[in-house]
Amino acid sequence: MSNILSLLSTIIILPFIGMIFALMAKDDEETSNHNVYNVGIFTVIVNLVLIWRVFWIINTSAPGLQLTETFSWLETPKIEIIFGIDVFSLLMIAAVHLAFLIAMTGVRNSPEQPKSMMVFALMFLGSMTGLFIAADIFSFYIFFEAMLLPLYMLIGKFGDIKKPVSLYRFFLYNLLGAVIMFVAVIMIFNIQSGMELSKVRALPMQETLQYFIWGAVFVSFLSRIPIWPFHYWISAVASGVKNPLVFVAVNLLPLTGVYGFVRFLPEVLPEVASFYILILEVISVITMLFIALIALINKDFQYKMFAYVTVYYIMYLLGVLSRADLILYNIGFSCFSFLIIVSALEVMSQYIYIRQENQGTSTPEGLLCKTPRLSFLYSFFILAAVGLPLSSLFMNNFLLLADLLSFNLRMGLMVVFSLILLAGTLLGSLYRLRDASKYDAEQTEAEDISPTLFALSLLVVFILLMSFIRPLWFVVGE
Amino acid sequence: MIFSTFIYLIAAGLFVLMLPPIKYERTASLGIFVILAALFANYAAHALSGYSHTFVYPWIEYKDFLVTVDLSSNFYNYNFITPVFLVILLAAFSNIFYPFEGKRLRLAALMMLNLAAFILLICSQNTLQLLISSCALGVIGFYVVNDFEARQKYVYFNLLADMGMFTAFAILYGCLGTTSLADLARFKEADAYQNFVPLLLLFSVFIKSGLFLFQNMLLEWRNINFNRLALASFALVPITSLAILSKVSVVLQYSTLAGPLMLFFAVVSMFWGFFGALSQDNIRSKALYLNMMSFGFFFGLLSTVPGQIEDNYPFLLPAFYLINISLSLVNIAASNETEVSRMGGFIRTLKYSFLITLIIVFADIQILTNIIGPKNQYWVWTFLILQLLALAQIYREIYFTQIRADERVWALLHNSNIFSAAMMAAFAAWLIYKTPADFVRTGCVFGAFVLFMMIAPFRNFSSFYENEELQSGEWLNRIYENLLIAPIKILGRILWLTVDFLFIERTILSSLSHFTEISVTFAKRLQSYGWLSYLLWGVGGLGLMLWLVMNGGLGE
Amino acid sequence: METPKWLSLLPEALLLLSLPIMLIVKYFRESQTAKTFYTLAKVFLVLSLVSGLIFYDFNGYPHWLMNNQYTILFKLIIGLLSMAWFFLSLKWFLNKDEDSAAFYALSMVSLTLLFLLISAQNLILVGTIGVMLMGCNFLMLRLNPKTDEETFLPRRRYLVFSLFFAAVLILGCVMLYQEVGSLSYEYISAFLAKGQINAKLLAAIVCIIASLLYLAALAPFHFWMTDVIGTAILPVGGFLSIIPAFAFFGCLADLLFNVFMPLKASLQPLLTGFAVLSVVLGALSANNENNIRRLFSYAGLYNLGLVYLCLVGLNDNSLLSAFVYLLVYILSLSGIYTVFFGFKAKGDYLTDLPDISGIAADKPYISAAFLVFMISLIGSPPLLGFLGILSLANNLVLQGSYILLAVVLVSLLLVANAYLRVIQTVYFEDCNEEFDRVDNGIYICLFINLIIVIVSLLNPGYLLHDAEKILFTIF
Repeated sequence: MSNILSLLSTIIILPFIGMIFALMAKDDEETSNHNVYNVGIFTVIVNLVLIWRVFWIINTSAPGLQLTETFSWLETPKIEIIFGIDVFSLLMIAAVHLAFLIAMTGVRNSPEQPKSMMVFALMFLGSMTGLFIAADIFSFYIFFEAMLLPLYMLIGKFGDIKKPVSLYRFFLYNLLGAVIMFVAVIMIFNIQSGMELSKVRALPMQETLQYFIWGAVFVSFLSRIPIWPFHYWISAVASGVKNPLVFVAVNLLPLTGVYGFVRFLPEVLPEVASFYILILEVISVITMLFIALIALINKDFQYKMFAYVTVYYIMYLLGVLSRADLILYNIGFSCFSFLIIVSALEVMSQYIYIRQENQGTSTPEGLLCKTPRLSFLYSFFILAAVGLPLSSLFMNNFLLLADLLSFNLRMGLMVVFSLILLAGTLLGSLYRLRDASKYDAEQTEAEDISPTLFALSLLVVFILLMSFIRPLWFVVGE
Repeated sequence: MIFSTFIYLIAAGLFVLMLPPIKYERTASLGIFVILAALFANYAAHALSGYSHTFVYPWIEYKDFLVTVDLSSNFYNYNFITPVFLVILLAAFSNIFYPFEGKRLRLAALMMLNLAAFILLICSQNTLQLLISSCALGVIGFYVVNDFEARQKYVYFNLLADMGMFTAFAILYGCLGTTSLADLARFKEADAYQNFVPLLLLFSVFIKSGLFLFQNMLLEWRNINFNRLALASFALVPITSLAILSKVSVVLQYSTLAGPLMLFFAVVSMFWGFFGALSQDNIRSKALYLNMMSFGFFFGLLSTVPGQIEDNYPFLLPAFYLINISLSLVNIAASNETEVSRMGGFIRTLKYSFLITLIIVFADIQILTNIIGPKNQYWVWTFLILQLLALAQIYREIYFTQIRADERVWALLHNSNIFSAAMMAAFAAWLIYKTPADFVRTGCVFGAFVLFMMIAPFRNFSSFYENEELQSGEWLNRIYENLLIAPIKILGRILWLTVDFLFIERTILSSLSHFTEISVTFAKRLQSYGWLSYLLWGVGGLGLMLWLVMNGGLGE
Repeated sequence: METPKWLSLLPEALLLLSLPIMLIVKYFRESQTAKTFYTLAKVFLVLSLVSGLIFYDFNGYPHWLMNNQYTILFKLIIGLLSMAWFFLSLKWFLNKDEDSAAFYALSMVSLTLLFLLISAQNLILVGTIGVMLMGCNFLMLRLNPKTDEETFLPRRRYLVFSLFFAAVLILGCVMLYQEVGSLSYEYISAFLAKGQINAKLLAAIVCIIASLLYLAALAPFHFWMTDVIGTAILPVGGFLSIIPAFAFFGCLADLLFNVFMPLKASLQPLLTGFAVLSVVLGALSANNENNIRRLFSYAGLYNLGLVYLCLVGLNDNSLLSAFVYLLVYILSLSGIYTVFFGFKAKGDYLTDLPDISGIAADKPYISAAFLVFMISLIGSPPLLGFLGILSLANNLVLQGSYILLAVVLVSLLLVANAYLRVIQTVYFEDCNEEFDRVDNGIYICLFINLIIVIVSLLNPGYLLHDAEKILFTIF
């Protein structure tokens, strides 16, 4: 471990260090539990600065993993841990951090035990970061599974899950996926001499073994993405979560599945595998339509958000399956905006829930009236989420859909149809929130979001707009 | 030049939009009108002198994905921008005096942004700029249409149309590998989706312009005030869609279905608009149906003579806008009374307004007859006659016939702001002056119009005013609801119930958890901490072990 | 001068020496507390370990006992674990104000026997130790001050069946002696290598292995462990769960690898079957248990099953994997038992799941440690347990036993489900009880254990490789 303080390992370790500080943070009435939040937010910001630094260091147009670091971990069996990064994974990390930062601001005034929330959130963030930086199959697997525990704790403690059984199922289902991945990893390890992730895609192996391994890998990644008929486990949990931080964390899980496909999808597909890919595509499209349709009839905003997130992830998955380089970068940029939008929307909807509870109304209609700041932000994020030219999502969707449509028109059209349904759903919900006729003027005067948070949110708006105008604006000499 | 106009408009628009509410909104609106007029003067001077300038900004250059921002000044762009500029100018002017406007300044700001977005749309040389500007116009339209119900329809229709267009352009990019509009001519070579893409584009455009079957969005605008209604009709979404259609018309040429389809929708819309203008009681609905007729007419023009619309388009749009204004004058005069069935005999008080209306109609006739050519003559004549018939009937009901207004309206009936009305008349007169004239023909047609007004051949249509169903326009909503939305929702519910609930929850999950439960209980029973269980495991285990090893071990 | 032979027995002798001293103190010293006997046990244990380290490869009686770097490694692990456990047990005795002399004395006897068992090279020794251990266990179980039926019955059942298995063990030894003519490992191994195997010989070996499996509490002979754990006092329950595992593992591994290897074909499927049975039974039963000690005892059965599943591959790699898994498992389990000391309300140590509901809100650090150890027991990264499951799975893949792997993984999910219920109770439910303050010593023990867990994960080399190297460099 000669290079222990290198940049990538620091980026992974930092959230864990933050976690320890959060664990030790002293909070009482006087600090109104803000110490631990400040620790969390500070950690994320510092890591963001480091990530930004990495953007400057790496060559954004060069292929392959850069800044690789190797640690010898085990002697028997001989396992080395390798870290490395490319623009795609770096974008993911940046997006995940930003999403967390936004979501953290949303739970600042949450009355629940903030310490455990921050500790588990940082632990989850660390694992998530590790997953994107992992450049060998073992560390990939370690982080792939390690994120489950903090996630489970976050959902269990702060997710308002009514039925513990559904939470068990969620965890066990994901654990099953991870366990299958584990078997695949060990089998790959026993075939391959080195364990670099970059070599996995072009791994030569026997035909039967190939089916088994790729089958296991695919199944494990699919377990993360709510694909029909397994979406139920995830939707039962994800759609009920109201805490923005937890919601963001839960909905980052499918990202790991999509990312897994990016890293593991064989460069040259075996003949029969392409048949499975076709089936996968068909199922994906069905799931998209299915979830979009359910979102249309479901009144719960969280379900709509879940559906939105899922449909996008499945679209990314379809994009990844098309295996074009341009599309991959496109997905990276898209994810960047997408995650920011989702977390911002979640924070906003949290405010709406609080308002709804304060006003004691059962339906959220008209809740955005008389709160211009919240209304503006919420509308902006919804419109950006729908894919209007307010973030890079617009351009990314265009390219992705162009790719999908030219790949298979019918499939592409179904994707478009799902997107339309979803957009309609989201706009409809925005609509109801702005319905002045339903606004009860006799209710107590609503509280708008604070100017500080508004200013911060405007910063997010700015970042999104910039992602539309110049995708890599934060890198000099891109 | 166009570039600088664009920048000024954006800057001024955003600045005004961010202003807090101020006391002297009317004066500020006047200021904005002056700014717009100055910009127009500058613009017109350059346009007339044939000034040209190329502005191309390379926006995204990634491998084979190249997108530019174009804001070049050239003849083609001037030709398209001028009519909308004129409409905006008129709208900004009437915004100063229009009495029923609550947020004058905000509307003025939106107008400026509207114009800027339209400039961006017209100047675009690639599909992405086209889409972005179209989306921007859509958003601005959302704010212009300030009624709740109207907005809801607006959002859904626009979303559908935009997504359609988005998809069509995505397919074009997918098969051509370029976003450039100039390269769309290669669409034929691509030899893929020759009918699908044009039809998709056409439907998007139809939805945006509110043609027959898609008129719901348009008709909901009857709940917004006249000034906004006219602006939304002639500077926003419907006109945008026409502009887009003309920009991508090259794609349509290769489709065998596009031409006939366009003509069909144009004809049906025109006639449906005519029928609506006569049968609707609400004066704003009448205006909207008249507008629908005009859009049908535009589509007809495009389908019969592709080049025609570009040359004569500048004055058509302001002329149609003025017709809206003529109805607006009545609405203002009658204290925002909207039902024509409660008007009549207004000529006694509104002589000036009637005079202005006549000038406007004359201008309209002048401009329409002026564009008649050998290829489009039947088309223009049909439209002109239908329009005049409808207008004659409407004006007759308002200004003549017996007095049906309630006392309050009648007592308060007054000519609207004379200065503003006079300016509109002057503008109409300017249009007449600027149009190469065949006054005799125009006079004859105008005579026919007066005749129509006297005979009123369609007077019986007013009996439809009593028909609730027709007046509310709910029937089309119901068709949409029952044929499109309800099935989708039912499908969603069925899927949720069968797949999620019955199949997964009740079948797979239940059996899995039951199986586990049974296994766990079985294991528990086997180890119940009793003597028997001890015996079973201890002695049984030992016996089993012995038996197994004996059989296996000796068998070797 | 030649080193006297008896020096090789010095560690065991030192352990035994503590007994008379404790006796003297018990009856002749007036001021005595629970701590007095703890101190005595501690001192003699340390002395024993040091002497063991010094004479780690000195073999005075090579046909009876064998000392080498492996045996000292095992003894060292057992000794250190015992030391920690003695310390924790002291808290229990102080809290309950009970006499600790018997517990520490019996523990020292038990440790002596375990040390001998690790080094044993003769089945006479193994048989004797086995029988004595059963007796020692029984005496330890009697330490419970409660005398109700519920406490009494399991003890009696244990006694009856221990007598039965002691008889089986002795019978096995006698039968084997009749066939082979000696009970020394060396002779038996040489005899078996000749291939003259008959039914009696096999029956004898089965009897011996079955009795050892009974001691190790592996299915189908696990029943007593889960039964008595529920009623034994915490120090005894923990001692029985944590300490002997290594000794039995060492002894069984020695027997299987060095003595019964020629019978691999007969024994391997049988032991595999038992291991799988343990895994499945442990995983299933853990799901329906409200007594947390029993729950973890079942989970322990599952884990031990995994250890033996590894072991019965009967090759070097499987031995190493089994060792790693056992080490990781025992570390986590000792953490769990340490946590049990923290689950205390109104002076009573809590054993039922509903009693500890919502304890996380009141005792966050204890609960966090509990969580860490539980997840480690599932084998989820990034905790130490992952190392165990990694070596196990790798071994199974190398052996090509995919079906076994599948069974293991399904059982893992079942165990995870059982733990989820615990986590649910500890973390997500409302706290409805006032919990007692937790002694700092327990925090220290937990902290040390956590550090070991974390360091072992970051640099696991020392567990698998360096331990051996360290031994060689010292001596």
